[in-house]
Amino acid sequence: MTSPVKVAIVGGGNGAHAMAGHLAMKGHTVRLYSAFPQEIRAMQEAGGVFVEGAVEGFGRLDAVSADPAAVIPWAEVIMVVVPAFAHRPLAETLAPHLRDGQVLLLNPGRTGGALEVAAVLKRMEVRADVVVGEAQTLIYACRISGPARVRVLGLKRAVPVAALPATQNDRLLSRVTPLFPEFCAAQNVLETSLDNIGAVFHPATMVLNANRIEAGDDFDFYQGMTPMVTKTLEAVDAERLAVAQAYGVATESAADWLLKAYDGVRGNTLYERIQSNRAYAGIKAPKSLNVRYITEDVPTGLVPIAAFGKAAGIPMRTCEGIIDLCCTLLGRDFWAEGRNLENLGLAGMDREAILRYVNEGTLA
Amino acid sequence: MDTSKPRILVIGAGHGGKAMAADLAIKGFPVRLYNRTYSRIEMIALRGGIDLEFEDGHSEFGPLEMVTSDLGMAVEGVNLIMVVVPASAHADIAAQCAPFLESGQVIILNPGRTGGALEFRRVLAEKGCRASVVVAEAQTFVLSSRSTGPAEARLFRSKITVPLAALPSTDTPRTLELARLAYPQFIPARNVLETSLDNMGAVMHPSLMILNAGRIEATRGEFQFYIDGATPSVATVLEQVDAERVAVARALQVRARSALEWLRAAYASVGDDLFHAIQGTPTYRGVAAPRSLTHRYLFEDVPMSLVPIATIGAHYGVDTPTIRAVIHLACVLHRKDYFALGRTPARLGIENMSVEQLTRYVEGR
Repeated sequence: MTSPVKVAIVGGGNGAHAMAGHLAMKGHTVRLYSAFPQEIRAMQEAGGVFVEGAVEGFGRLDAVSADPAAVIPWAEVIMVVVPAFAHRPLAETLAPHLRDGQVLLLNPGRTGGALEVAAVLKRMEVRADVVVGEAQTLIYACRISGPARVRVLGLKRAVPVAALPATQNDRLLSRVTPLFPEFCAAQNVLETSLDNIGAVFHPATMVLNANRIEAGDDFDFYQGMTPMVTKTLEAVDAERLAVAQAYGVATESAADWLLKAYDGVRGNTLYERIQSNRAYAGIKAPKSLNVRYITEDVPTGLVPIAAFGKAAGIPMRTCEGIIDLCCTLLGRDFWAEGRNLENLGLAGMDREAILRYVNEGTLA
Repeated sequence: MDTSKPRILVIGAGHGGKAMAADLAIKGFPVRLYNRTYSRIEMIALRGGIDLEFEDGHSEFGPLEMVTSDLGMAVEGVNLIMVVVPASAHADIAAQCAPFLESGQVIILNPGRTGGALEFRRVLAEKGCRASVVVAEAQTFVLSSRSTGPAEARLFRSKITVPLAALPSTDTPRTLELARLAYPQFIPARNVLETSLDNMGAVMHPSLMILNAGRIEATRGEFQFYIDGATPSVATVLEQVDAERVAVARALQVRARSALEWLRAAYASVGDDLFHAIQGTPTYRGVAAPRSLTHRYLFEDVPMSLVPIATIGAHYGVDTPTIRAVIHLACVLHRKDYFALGRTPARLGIENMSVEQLTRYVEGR
């Protein structure tokens, strides 16, 4: 194997457990930081993470701490594995501890993660030369299966990553492929950001089943994707694809993504493909509207997608309608708290300016 | 037949029109029934009337003096024209009636939804109708009824009061004088902006359909539309839609009742917010959800109620983001551009009016 890398894992959930344990098993030196002591206590006691399933073994951790100073300055590569709505506050916490030459990768960034983190670092006047990047998805399918124990159901074969700006892509890849050869280069962070299928599927299905979910009805989430609901998903997806096209990044439709991502998916329409996907059977609809399908996928999915679209002059009415109703349903202002252009560090920019910033890092 | 009674034409032979025609005939009025498609009224023509079953189970036969698809014949010589068609057909009916209308005739839209009388007047003017007629709109349909067979209908109940206004309001007294011979439940509203904006269907129906879309399609409407359909968060959306409607009314200097006030007044509902008031409305118990999303709660209430409220709001400087979101999702569900199909200030003939001019226009002073 390549020489060991000093890796900081940030987070204490399913993905953080899997990545910390697995990278340690691969021979890297791994420390883990989480702000929540209850998330890390078991790992501290065990001295590491037991990994089972697609990968089996024990990953010994060099340190597990709720103090960022004990983990972040030490690391060569910082792997952030937290829900996307935590990226902004987390960036504020990490900012004082960053130092020259580090690489920070969001696993994943959802839509606009790297942009938002970079905006925070800029606002906090971080001078350290840090490469900020985002992965399109989390490499693992995994679930915590016990104290300091995680079950890995599978690893994705290829995970696109990109740095901000794209001129740093090579530097990012040279530092993270020693950890995961599965990482491959995306064109830029717009590509990793706009390939957000969760933002297409989740919030609209939640809104159009709002009553049923709040009433606590017991049904599989995909059963909420009825023919008319699926039409709305298609309309959201069409807007996302129009945005991707306007920014010149390669994306595929949600319907085509289903064919590629899962075995045994059949049919020509999105509805048929969703209904034939056996992997969706048994995934229950949430029993509340206050869940990540809205609280993460709206502010860090639909809001930035709508913001990119608006900056490019694309009508985003379906996305906007879903966002507006989510705001009313939960009594929150996702437009203000989510990744709007300002929070992405793109205030006042049009499409050309955004592309220059994302590709070259230059501000007009 | 009692010749002192006004001669009434009912336009439209759906759930409402058939029951109203029969009910008026049973009350002794000379009644005609017009429907565009003759096959829908052929059995009524053959039998010479409609069997109406009342709330208490007894039935009576309402004899009609004319059953026709010839609008010119139908309109000739009648005193009162009761239009009982979906609001989306009001413009067509106005255009087709225009050449035949006679001075002194009174036309009532049952109901107008939002902007019915305004649109009807605009079309009559555009078609060069010279007859001096009264155009009025009821705030809701006076009966609760269903068509139960080719020449049969059932009347569940009559509403206790139904606000009505003519355009302009100076015509309201003589409209009421005539209309109350048939239905004493009609009471005067201040003007057609009030009847148009006191539109509770606009508040309840489309939002409940959208936020229950998956459930309606998955269960074919096997749940109680209001009681089960309005969970707390769903009710907050209804409240937001309602607040936007009331704000639009306020911009037009009309005091619209909130849905909560209306529920308390109309149904004696109890509860401090819309969620509890809906739960506390006995009338809503057992009212089933539509079996499909292809339903007039969307295809009529969106273009004929929500679109005019939103576009009138925009015209007079009131933002209605929640209403717009609901409209847009209805557009997506039905693959129709309801903003283009619906009633806008231009279609209502008011796009060049200030609030003062609009008020003068609807009040006639």
